[in-house]
Amino acid sequence: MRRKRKWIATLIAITLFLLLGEFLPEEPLRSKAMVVGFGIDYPKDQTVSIHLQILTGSGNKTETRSNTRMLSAEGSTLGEAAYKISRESGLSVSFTHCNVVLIGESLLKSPVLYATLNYLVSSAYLSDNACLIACQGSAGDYLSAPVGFGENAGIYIREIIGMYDRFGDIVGTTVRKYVVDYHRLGQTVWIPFMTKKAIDPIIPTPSSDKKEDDYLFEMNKVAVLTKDRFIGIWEENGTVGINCLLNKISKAQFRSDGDHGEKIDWYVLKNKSDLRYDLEKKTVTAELKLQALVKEIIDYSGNSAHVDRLTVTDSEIARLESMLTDLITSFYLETQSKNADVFGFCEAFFDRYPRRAKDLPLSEIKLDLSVKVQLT
Amino acid sequence: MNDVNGKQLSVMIFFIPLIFKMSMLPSYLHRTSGVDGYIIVGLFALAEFLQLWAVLFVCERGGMNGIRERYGNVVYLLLSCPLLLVIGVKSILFVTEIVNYLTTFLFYNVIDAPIVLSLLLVCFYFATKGARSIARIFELTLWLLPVILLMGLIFGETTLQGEYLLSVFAGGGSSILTAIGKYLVYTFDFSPLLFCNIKVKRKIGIGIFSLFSILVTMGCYMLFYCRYGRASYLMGCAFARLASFDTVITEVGSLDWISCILWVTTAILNLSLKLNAVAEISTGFRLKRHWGVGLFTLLLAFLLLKVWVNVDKAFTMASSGIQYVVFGIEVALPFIMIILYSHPQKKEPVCAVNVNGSPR
Repeated sequence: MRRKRKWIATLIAITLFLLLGEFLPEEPLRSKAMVVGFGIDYPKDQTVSIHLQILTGSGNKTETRSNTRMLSAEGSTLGEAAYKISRESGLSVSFTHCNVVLIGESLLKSPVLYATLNYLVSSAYLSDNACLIACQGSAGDYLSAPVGFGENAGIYIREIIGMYDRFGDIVGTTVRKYVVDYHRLGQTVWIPFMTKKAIDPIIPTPSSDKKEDDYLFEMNKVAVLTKDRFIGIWEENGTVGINCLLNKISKAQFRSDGDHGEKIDWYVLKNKSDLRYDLEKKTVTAELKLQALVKEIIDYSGNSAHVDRLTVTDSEIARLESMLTDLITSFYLETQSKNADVFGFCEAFFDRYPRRAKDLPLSEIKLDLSVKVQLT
Repeated sequence: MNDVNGKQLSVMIFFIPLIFKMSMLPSYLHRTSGVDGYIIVGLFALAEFLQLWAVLFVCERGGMNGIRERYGNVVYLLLSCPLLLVIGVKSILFVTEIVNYLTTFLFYNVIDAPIVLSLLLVCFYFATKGARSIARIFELTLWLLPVILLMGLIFGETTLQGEYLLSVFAGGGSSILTAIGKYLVYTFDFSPLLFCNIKVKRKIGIGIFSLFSILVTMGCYMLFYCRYGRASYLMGCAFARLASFDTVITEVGSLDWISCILWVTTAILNLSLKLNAVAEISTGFRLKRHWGVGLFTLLLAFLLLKVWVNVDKAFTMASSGIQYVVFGIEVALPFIMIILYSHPQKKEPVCAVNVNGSPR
């Protein structure tokens, strides 16, 4: 009897909730500025400029097509700038749904990057799993840019970088990972670096007016920093090196030359890296295994015999392996010469040999890399 | 009112040592002991369960009520009053931790007073309902754990750096002593169970849950350090951070909200169990349970609003010399009770009865 009453009470509660749910007050959500993209610039000394891409909700015809609006403010702290936006908009700023943090070039190259981002992790206003991306120029320009695809810049960036995937030449990182890497022994961090390019707007009809350009974002670069020092920006060798050795790639494409000069396009399905640390030799032996398939072959000499085949030769596989070895090794040597421990070797040696490897300088650590490509 | 069965006890001994070790302590431990923290917390938990077995041994013989029946109210008060200090110190620390957790993860930029008062009101209510109700809620709350794990398995994207755990005791074993000197107050939490009437049929379940609790505590620390590496010392509210499973807030919402519910509920229940002990102690002063716990809660509220107003101040107080007093009481009390129980009970004077059944 008691159980029956409980079931009846539960059913009534659920029914009431479903039927009367629409009468619940909506004010709290409307009074909040839900931030979906967060940009930070460092325009002048001791001043940060923040740009918030705020969801305005659907159905309002006067808003932009993306249902988002961008607000910017300056302040000596992030909190001060956010408060200004809150005061001007009459809305309480909420970062709980913000998944993208964009860093302008001025902040990236300044010595205050860590100090700025540390607040975001320790305060828990923002998810520490939010994607972190640096960009050329001002972060505000990117967040307010009309994008070619996706509803708005914030969502578009998330789609490119892949919420769950890492592409061969697009590295992804989060605010948390940035702070964690900053505290490693080598104190070296990397952040994907984004540029933008204008494309024609949606194909106009004869009656429509000329519209402004839309933009596409390219993210195939990586910025490297040590402690509070900007080291540089690398293209393919940086992104491929980081993704192949440190990350799990879900999709990657590489191109190499065939035996007769033809162009071979490879599609990588899986990578596995095995790093071994030898303190006596001060060497990291890295074995990178890639599972790949040949996607496309083009021979520009016009010889169809080189194209009409279903497999590749051992020497062509070796050429790809050699190309990748050179690519990754050159990145390591370049960053090593700038004392940037991108791959975290100092920390890895210390973790394995805590007493003997604490002061092992990066300049003495050699990388012995071998790449093995396995065809599927 | 304070009857707890074996199943409920198992759930309680799983949660009690775990809850307040999963908030600020992981970062505190990392600050002083680095990655050794996960070994140290395992040692803490292991030692804590030695106290548990002593407590259970006493409970089997009647617990605190048994002492009152055997030796009278004065001995009962002599033994239980020092626990007021223990409960007071720990409650101050733990309430500030809950408030810190709530103001970090749930409500931003709010003053503490309403939260402190609401928390204490809930704890007061549970305490007046007795250990049986608290144990029942503990039992129900346990089901949130598989939900968290299931959500994590489905949506989680956790990447862990296991090598961060390798460099244990890089500076020798001195980190253990440093940790004991600072964080002893976070251990030995089982003495409120002395006031419960525990009915255990099979002890194997308790053994399994004790071991499970130690492993889960160590496991959570390992995951936390794998995730945050050397930056672990910056990260408070460890459980909520872990339970987000590296996901960002997406269409499925935020994964850490379930962990917030679990942690806050179990933390409140843990505090309520302590206040339930206060209610029982107050009966020794001829006070009704709700009056005793009410007065204690009011005093606690005053101290939390006027003296130890934040987690830093509370931690400074709790980790000072007073922690050794607290530790001493927690450890000594069950053993004193064992000695008292081992003393043969005085035989009741037997009246000679005549054949007619009336005393001569």
